[in-house]
Amino acid sequence: MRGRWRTAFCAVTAAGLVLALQPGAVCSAQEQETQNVRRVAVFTYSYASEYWGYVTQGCMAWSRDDPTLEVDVKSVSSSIAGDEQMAMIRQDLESGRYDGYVIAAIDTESMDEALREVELPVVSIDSPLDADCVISFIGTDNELASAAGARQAVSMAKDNGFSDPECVMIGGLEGGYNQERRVAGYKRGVEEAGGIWLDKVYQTDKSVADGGKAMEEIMKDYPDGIAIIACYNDTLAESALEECEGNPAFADTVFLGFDGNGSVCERIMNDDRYANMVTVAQNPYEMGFHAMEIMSDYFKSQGQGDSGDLSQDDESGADADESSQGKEPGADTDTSATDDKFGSDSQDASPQETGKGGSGKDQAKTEGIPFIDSGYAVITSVNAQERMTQIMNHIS
Amino acid sequence: MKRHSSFWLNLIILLAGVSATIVLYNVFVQRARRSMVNVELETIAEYQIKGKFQSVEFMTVVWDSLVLANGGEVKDFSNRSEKILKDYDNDMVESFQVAPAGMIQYVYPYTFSDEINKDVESAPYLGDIAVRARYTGMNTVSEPVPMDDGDYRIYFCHPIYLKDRVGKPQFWGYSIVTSRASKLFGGLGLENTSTRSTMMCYRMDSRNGDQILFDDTEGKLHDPVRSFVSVPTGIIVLEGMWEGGWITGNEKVIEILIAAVVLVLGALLLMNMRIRKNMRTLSQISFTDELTGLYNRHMLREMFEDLDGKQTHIAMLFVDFDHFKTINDTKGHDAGDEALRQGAAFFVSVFGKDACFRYGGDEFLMMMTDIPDEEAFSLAARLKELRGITFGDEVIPVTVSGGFAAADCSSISDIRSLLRMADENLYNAKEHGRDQIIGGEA
Repeated sequence: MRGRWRTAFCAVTAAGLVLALQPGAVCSAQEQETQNVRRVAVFTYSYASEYWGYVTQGCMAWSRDDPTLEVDVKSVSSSIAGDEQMAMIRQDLESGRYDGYVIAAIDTESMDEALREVELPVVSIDSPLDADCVISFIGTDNELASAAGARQAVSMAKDNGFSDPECVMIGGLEGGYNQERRVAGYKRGVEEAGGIWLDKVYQTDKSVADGGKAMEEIMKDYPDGIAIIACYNDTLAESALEECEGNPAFADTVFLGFDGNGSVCERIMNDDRYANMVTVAQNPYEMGFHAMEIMSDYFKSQGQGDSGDLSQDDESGADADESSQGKEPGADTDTSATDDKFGSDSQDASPQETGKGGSGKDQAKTEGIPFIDSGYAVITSVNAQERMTQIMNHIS
Repeated sequence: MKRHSSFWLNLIILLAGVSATIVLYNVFVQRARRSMVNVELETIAEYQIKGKFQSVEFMTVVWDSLVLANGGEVKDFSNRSEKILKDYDNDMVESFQVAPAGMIQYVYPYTFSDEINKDVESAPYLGDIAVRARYTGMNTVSEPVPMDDGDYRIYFCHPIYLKDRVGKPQFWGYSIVTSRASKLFGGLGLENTSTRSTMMCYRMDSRNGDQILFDDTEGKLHDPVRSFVSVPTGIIVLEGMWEGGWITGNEKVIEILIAAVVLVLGALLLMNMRIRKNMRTLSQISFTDELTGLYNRHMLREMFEDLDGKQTHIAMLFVDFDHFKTINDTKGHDAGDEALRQGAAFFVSVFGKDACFRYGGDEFLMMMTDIPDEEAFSLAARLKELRGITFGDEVIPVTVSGGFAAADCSSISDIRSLLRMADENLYNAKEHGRDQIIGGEA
C-alpha cells in the first residue's frame, strides 16, 4: 500500500518538473520586470501641507522615470499625528507589502522602536532615526540654515531702525529634533549678527490657530513691539504676521520663517504686508527625489550581487551621492545655478553627503548613518523670484 | 476519603474538558472569522476606497483638459458638466466648480450657486489644499467637512496650468470636484462579499477628533478587526466584525448544546471507567486470596467447572504446614501470616502461579494438569526444600506435609474424588510423622 503511495508521489513530482521545464513556464521579460518592481512606502506629515507636497512631488518625480520603483505616499491629518503614522506603518510592516520605506517620522522615539527588528531599507528624511535598518538620512542642517536666516533677520531689523534687535521665537513642539536645532541656530545667528536673543520660546502645535494665539501672547508681553519674531516654520510666521496686522508697534517687526514654501515666496514678492518677512528655504523636493534615488541605488546594488546587508550603510550613502551627480532633481531644472543667486548665506540645493548627523544632543542618534544635506537658502524679497522659478520648474 | 477526592478530581477533569471544548470552539470560529473579515477589509481598503478616490480625482482632470483644449476658456460649462456625469456614470460627484485665477466662476449644479466668486485660496477647508495643489501641481483632497445634514463634503482640488510661449507652466486656476462621504464610503462593497460582516469607517484626526464616515454596526462593534488605509485625505480606518458578533446568538445555543453533549459523554465515559475499575477490583477480590495473592477456593471451583466434561489428567498435591498453630502461638499471628506468604511464594516458584490455590487456613492445593505423574511428583518432592521462613531477624523452622494424588478426570465428581484422595494422603502424612509427602506412588 505504502509503495503505491510512493509511486503516486513520484509520478506527481515528475509531472510537476516536466511542466515547470516547459518553455511556456519560463517567465517572460515583462513578467520578470514586474517581479523586479520594488514597492516603497513614503511616510510624510500632513496631507494638506504645502511643504510635504514638495517632498511628495520629489518622490513622484523620481519614480515616474524609474520603472523599477512603485511609490505609495502616505500622509496623516496633521504634523502632530504621530499615532496615525505609527498605526499605518505598523500595519504595513506587518503585512510585508513594501520593500523599503522613506520616513519622515513625527514621533521619532516610537518609530525607532517600531523599526528595531525591521530588516528592510529605510531612508529617513527631515528628522533622523536611530535603527539598524536606516541606510541614510536626508535633511537640512537646521542649525546652520536657521543661523543664516537669523543673521539676515537681524540685518533687516537694523535696516528698519532697531539698533539692538531683540528676538523671540514662536516654536513648534517642544523637544522635537528640528525644533531644538532651529532654536540653537536662531540664537547663534542672532548673536553673531549683533542682535539679542531673549531666550523666550512660545510653544505651539505648529498650526495656524496656535500661531495666532502665540502672537497674541507676544503682543501682550511686548506691547511696544519687538524687532524679530523667529518662527519654527512659514505657517507660524504667516499666522503671526496676520494676527498683528494693523498693530503699529509691530509694523517694522521682522518675521523669520522656515521652509521657503512657494506661497510664502509669492507673498514676499507681491504683498507689501510681507515686506518684513524672511524665510529659510529648505529643499523638500530634493529630499524626496534623493530619498528615492538612494532607495533605487540600494535595490540595484542588491540585484548586482550585494548581500543586501543593511550594515553596509556607508556604501549605500556613497553610491547615492555619486549617482546624484549624474541626475539632478527635475531634468530641466538648473537648481545650482538658481541657488547661486541666493547670496553667500545659501547652500547649493544639490545634496552633499557630510557624514555627520546634525549637531547638538541628538548627534549620537545619527552617528554611522550617512547624512545627506539637502541644502538651504535664505529668501527675502530680493531673491524670492528665483525661488519661485525653482519651485515652478518642478511642476510637470 | 480517597474515593471522595477521586470524585472531585474526575468532576474537575470533566468540567475542564467542557470548558476547553467551549474555548476551542470559540477560538477556532473567531479566528477563522476574524481572518475572513480582515481579508475583506483589506480588499475594501485597497481596491474599493482607493478606487473611489481615484475615480473622483479623475473627474477633476476632465475640466482641466477642456480648459486647455479651449485655450484657457470655459465653454458651455453646465451642459458639458451634465454630459460628463452622464458619460462617466459617476454618482459620487456632487458638484463641478472651476475657478479661474483662484475665484470660483463656474458651478454645476445650480444649487451650488452660492459658491460663485468664492476665493478658493482663502476659503475654509479648501484654502490650504488649494495652495498646496497650486505650488506642487498635484491633486489635493480636503479633510471631510461636516455638513448640516450629518454628512461630510470632500473637496478634490486640481490646479490648471497653461503653457506659455516657452513651454513654462503658468497657473490658470482650479478645477474642483466635491463629493459626499455617504457616496464615497456608503455601503462599501458589503453586498459583494462572501462574508457576513458589519463595519464602520472613520478618518483619523489627531487634532480635531476622528470623523466617522460610514457606520452600519449600530454601535454593536466589539473587539473589531482593524485595517488602515492611506487615502489622499489622510488615514482611514476600517473596523469590522462578523454580523451579530463573532459568535452569533444561534451559535451560542449550538455551543451550549455541544458543551452539554461533551458533558454527558464525558460523564458516561467517567462512569464507565469507574465501573470497569470496580469490576476489576471485585474480580481480584473474589478470585484471589488477599494474604498470599494466590487463587482462592472460589477460583478453584471455577476451574473445576471449566474442566467438567473434558478428559484431563490431573495431579493434585494437598499441602499443610506442620505445627502451624505453634508458630502462631509462640511467634504471633504476624509470624504465622508471614509463614503463609513466604510459603505461598515458594509454591508459586515451584509450581507456577496458575497451579497454586489457598484452600483454607494453612492448607494449600497445587493442581497440575496434563503432565506426567513422575514429573508432578518430582515437583511435589521439592516441598522438602522449604525448611524455614524469615521473620524479622529470625529464621523460623518450617516444614510441610503433602498428600499427592493423580488420575484421569472427565467430570467434577472425578475431580472431587481425586481431591478427597489427596486429602486422605495428606492426613496419612500427618499421621505418619509429618514433613513428608504421601501418595507419590499412586
